[in-house]
Amino acid sequence: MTGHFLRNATFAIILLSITPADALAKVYLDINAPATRKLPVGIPVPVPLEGTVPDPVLSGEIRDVLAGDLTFSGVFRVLDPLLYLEDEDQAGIRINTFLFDDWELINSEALIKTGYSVGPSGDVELEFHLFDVFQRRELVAKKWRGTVGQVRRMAHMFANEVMERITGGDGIFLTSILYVQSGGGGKEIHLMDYDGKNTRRITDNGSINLSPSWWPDRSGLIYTSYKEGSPDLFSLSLDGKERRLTRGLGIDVGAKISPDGRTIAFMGSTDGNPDVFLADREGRVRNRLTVLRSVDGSPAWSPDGRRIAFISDRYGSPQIFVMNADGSDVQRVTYDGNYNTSPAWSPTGDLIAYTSRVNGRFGIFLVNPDTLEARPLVGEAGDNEDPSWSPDGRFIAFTSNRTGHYQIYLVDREGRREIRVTSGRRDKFSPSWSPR
Amino acid sequence: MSLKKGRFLFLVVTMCVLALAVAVGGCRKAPAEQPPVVEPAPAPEPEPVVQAYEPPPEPAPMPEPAPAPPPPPVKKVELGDVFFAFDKFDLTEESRTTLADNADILMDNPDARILIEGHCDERGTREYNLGLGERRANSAQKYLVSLGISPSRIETISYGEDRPFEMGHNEAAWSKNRRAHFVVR
Repeated sequence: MTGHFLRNATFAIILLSITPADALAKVYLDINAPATRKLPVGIPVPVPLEGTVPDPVLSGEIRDVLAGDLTFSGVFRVLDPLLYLEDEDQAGIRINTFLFDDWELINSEALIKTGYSVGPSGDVELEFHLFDVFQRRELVAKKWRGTVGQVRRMAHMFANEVMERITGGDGIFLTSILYVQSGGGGKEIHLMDYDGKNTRRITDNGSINLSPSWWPDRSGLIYTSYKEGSPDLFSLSLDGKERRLTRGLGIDVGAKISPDGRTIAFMGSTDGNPDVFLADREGRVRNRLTVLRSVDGSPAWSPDGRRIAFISDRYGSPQIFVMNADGSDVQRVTYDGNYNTSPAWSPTGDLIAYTSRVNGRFGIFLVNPDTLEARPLVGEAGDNEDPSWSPDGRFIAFTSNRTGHYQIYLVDREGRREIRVTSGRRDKFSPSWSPR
Repeated sequence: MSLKKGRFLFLVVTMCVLALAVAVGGCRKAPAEQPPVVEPAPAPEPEPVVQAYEPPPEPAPMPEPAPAPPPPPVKKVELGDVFFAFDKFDLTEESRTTLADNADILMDNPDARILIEGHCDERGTREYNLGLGERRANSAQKYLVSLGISPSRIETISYGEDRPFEMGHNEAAWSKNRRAHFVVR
């Protein structure tokens, strides 16, 4: 019962035309500067092209995706449509078919215009343009054709183009998040777009399935399942091929694949004692890295693959430690609090996110593994757990029960902007943010 | 008449099957008569079997009912669960008492094999709780072994926080969920 979740993606989106790359590859904003101002952008309602009947649902969805992505990025401030001066019925989407003055007057420095047409077979063509209003020129334009079901995806693709053109960095708007959802006595792995849309069930075996984790090439995942009795590791490709990686009694859980895709680190147990193990990608050659009679587990690779963060209660309560990938040079990283777990090493290497218990509640913290400087990130309300970094290292996904049920939230690494991307009454937890 | 006969036959066959199940190797003469067992399905089903135990009702053509079928081994072996403090897997005095009682029961039932499930409350991190549950099951197992129960009779599994006994979100529920639970196989 797996492998049905990629059906949507089997039809390729077709690139129909591309504007010659702008010779002036100017980066407008440095997203890594500490206090960057936000770039005001106008996003008028997408318009029907070439005799297409207006479709407010379609145009609303396109605009929602663009505005949602660009707002989430923290780089843009999407101007309120109530401010727009332009006459929607008269203005076109290509250069010289509208007035830049209409946008300059409201200080919209950037402008995104979109047109759509629906073919007789239901295919949708989307045409996007990004303009620099003050310089009165086009920065990038794209035209794609796809199915109605791919409209969101095409809009995310253009949002990525905008991010790249404006900041020089790659957007994360086509990433997705694996998570676990409770329901009906079981716990199943699910997948959604990063913004909480387009949810799909990945496992469907009625058992307990836990701790999903991506292969670095995004081709599939490793997860833990009780479906054969004891908790073992399984590898599942996104086209539905599954392999069992471990078997036997004792727990095998929390697998994380090394950045080069060759080694799996996980918490295993022998004789009832949990330790960090390494195995090859087929689950063979179990190599034990920790040897103490304590709970040692939850490994997390550093982005260069040379170090592993993990938890250990060797001094009485769980704390975060790091060690070399061969088990040598173990160093304690957290000292505050008596319950620090679930480390996640940032893709930029400079921070480890973790869960910490403070006054009986759980919050997300960040610690620099070199200076051991720690600071709280999330923890105002409810219990907040299971941090997972976005591939660009600018955001963290986590789960929180602040609404009464565990839901998936996203927050930037400064803890400034926080959004909830799931809802419903079923608990959702253990997010794993995909590579790009 | 024929109905009565059929019913008698059913009884005999049932007894045969029973004898087969209980006393190994009995009733070898009956195989030819076994197929009809499938047919008289509409006749009253398992109830008559129970009555057959108490007054063995003159089984005339039964060749070897010699070993009177003892009551099936449905005698339930039940073991007490042991409970833990938050983030702890060490055994309290009360837990040791419970485990000693469990060991006595296991001594009395040498064929019983057990699975010890380690459980945690919902607070904290899933993976760590899986490790903690493993240690809890392991603590209970070790203590039973120290009391003389063969380790070959005991298996352990950790469910962490993923199979709670109580669904509440308060200490009353949490304290019931931090346990090593004994399943007799």
